[in-house]
Amino acid sequence: MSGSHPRHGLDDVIHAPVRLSIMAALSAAEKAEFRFLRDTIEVSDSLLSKHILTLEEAGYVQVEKVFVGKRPRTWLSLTDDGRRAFLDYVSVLKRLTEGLSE
Amino acid sequence: MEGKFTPEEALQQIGAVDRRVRRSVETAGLVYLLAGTVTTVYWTTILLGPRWLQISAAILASVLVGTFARYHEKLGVRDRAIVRASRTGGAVHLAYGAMTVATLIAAFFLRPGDPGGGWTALAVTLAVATGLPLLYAGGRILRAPR
Repeated sequence: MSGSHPRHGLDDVIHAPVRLSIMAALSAAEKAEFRFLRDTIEVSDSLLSKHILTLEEAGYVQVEKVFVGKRPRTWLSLTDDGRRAFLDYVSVLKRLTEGLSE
Repeated sequence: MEGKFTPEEALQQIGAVDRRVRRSVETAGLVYLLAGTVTTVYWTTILLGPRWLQISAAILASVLVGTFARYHEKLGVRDRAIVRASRTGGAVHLAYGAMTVATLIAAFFLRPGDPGGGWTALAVTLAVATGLPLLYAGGRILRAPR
């Protein structure tokens, strides 16, 4: 369904609490590690993995696995599309809240 | 934490997450400033202090260097300023390495038998210059636009 109301512009991939938090955290930094995201967003490993996969499939998040010694570390960052989608999403939110306050 | 939410709640959530990430990045900046200050104090002590204080400073510095390295390795967030500051072969690394070598050379080969005012001035200059790259990196991290 599409229409002229700003709410139709909200990206469903981002508009879910966990995914929004992931996008917001990655937008505030260049990249973040899986454990940092988990602790910042306060979710379980499995829930975070599930939502990261959704964002990765949408092309919004890039996943990079590196080893520090023998320890694997997963770094996540926004892709250019992801950064653009997040900025669009925030601007739609602002339009919606401004509309509500008028 | 599942389910849909209102635009206001979404904006509040973005703000809350943003603040948490910023806090972590700012802490990293403060750690760099601390490391720069400790480096300056350490070299001032090594170049000018009495023997017992030099030994204490060396022990304390090795503990602090280990703690700083562990903190940096575990730091789970990187913004552009942190990436630039921690890049191996980057300006901060090169400047820090070069100043450490220069200060070591001064400590081993230039230290006079009877240190006077000239040696004190050189020692303080070298100690400050060695800590400067880390202080600069910390300042850049804290002042970076976010």
